[in-house]
Amino acid sequence: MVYADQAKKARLMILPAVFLILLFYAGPVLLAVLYSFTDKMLVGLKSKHWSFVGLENYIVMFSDKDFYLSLLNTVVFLVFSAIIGQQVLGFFLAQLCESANRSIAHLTSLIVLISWVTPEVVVSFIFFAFLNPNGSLNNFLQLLHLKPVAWLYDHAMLAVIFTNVWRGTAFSMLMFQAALKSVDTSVKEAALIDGASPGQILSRITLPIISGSIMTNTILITLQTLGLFGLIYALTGGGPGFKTTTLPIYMYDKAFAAYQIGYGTAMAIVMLGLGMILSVIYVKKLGKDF
Amino acid sequence: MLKKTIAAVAGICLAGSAVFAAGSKKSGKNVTLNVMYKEVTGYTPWLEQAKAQFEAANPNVTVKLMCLPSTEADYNTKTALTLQTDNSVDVMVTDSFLVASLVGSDCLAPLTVSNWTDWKTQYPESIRASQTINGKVYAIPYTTDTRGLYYNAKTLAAAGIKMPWQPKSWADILDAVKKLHAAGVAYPIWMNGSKAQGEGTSMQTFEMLLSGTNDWLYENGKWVTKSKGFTDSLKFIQSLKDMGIYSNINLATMLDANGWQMLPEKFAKGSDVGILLDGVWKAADWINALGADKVQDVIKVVPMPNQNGTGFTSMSGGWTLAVSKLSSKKDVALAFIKLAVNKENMVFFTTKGGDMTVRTDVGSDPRYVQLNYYRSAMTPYIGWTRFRPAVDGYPSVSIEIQTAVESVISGQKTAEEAAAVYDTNVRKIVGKGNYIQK
Repeated sequence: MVYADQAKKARLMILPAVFLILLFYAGPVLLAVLYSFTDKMLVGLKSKHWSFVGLENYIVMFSDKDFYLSLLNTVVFLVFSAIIGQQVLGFFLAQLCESANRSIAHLTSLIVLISWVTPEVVVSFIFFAFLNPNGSLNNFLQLLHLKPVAWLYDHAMLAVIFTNVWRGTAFSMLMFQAALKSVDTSVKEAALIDGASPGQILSRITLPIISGSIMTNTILITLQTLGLFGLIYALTGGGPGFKTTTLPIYMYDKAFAAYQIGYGTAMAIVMLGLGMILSVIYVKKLGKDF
Repeated sequence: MLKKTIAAVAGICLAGSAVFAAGSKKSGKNVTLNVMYKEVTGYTPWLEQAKAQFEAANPNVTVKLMCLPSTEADYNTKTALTLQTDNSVDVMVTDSFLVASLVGSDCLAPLTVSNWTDWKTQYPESIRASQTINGKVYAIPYTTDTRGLYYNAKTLAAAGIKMPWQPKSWADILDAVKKLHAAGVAYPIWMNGSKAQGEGTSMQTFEMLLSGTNDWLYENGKWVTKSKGFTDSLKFIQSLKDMGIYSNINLATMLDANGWQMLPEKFAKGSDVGILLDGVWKAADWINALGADKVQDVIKVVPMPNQNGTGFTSMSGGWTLAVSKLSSKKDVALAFIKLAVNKENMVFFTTKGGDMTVRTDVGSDPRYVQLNYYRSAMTPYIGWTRFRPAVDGYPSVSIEIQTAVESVISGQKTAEEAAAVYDTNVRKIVGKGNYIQK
């Protein structure tokens, strides 16, 4: 009887939070799904008097060459900046911190964390100042008598990948620092005694033990990077042309710059689906491998 | 149990007081009028003056100016979003091409101009008509503009081009570009070309070209999604790219939304830019850079020729002051607008920036005429100027234009490819029955 009473109170206490989540999260998501089946525009007659067009937005999207281009850009950006860049660098830093002097480890963590807590737009400004045609990197190259390069124009994707790696590595580093602490040193010592090389310890012992963390980290940074907008938009605006237009930027362009809300929300739903598919793949694959 | 109850009640009171504290703005007779505008040379001094005058005449009103330093494209998005959701903004500086669409989404309040003598006497019929939708006026234009070809006479002469330069066709322009490129000029011709430059790309670049052909964007109530003129205009841009006249860094600078800030240095004072396809308001920058007595020797302006030598063309737009439908002080807002656009304030406005006036009395005021030679020279362009289609849907079509131009000038698509994408996309946007292909 006591438990039922407490359960009832618990439900009442949770109600405000549930209400807020429904209002600010589930509500807009449902609205987005709804709008994706309409021809709603941001301005004009169709912003108030829109009509249902069924799957037309989706049909148009899947026959839009630029959509596939933005999808490709998103995948390239995701793989190189997040899955490879941030994870590998984060893991590397976590390993180093684990075996290094405590104060150096703390100092390193602190410095890396500063990039994480810096607001996205500020990071973009920093790298714009660094990489623009008259920026510090080109000034430095000119000091060395090398030709300046239009980084944000000729190597735009590389620039945004680099910026995102710089920005997001801290997260992976923190995840792996915690994960590595949970690896029992006695297991590693036993392996050493048995004649295992550091490489073998890493691949046969450490990685399998922390595989759960790797998977969690991969899912989290995939979902974060899939939806990354501000960093790229402030740095290159998706340009030049279409070179760094990832799905979120293409979606913004269509929804808010071209005022096609219906089409933009359809893209958002596709992005949501993409995130879900990737998460399922990760859970299945990484769950099996290790 | 008692402790828990007290804690709960205290929590609710705290939350409640926060909600109530946030909402008490309308206290007493004091009214705050919020005016939102985009940062452009001359706007802040003009609106500050209007604000001071209005507050002096209406002691219970405080005018709050909200200046947004944003690119053109972002400001238009902000306009669309603000007028739909933000009931704190009363007066909004609005691009004239957006007005028809905003009226379509019921975001602007109709303005009473029947008792305003100035409207009938000082605003030309074409201007009044451009802002009258279904018999009602929704925005008061305070500036219009025309576009043409500025050129640096010294730079062109040094490249071996005969002075005065008076191109009669697109071929003449390309010819001058070739000579300037051969002479090593960094930007033989400078023009907007990116999506980030928004309407700047659509109007100053693309529509200046298209309006010089036999085709247009919108004919007989339908959008023209495919035409020879459209492809030819893109081909002109492609030929600039194919000539290799821009280094990658220079192209990046020219396409940057803030690249125009380099023009006083590079075009007026320097010899990095030969020809500039841009609007009348730019002239103020040259006058400021070189001084009113020397500038006319260096910077000249000529009208943009049609494609095949059949005459000249220009594009006119303009900005307006509009009242948000969500405003709770529409009368006060309109009174402020009328004050801000009266003759004296408009003369003041045109002395601070390079904008062309719409008012007849300002246009003939000696202060206006003598201040800016280029403005007077480009006023006759109104005779052959075109306006953007003032129809619902233009904003979305304009984005497609900008996308097409950017893809061609950056070499990502050929003119034909970009035209095909435009055709496909615009047909989708405007829907069946609303387009023709020529």
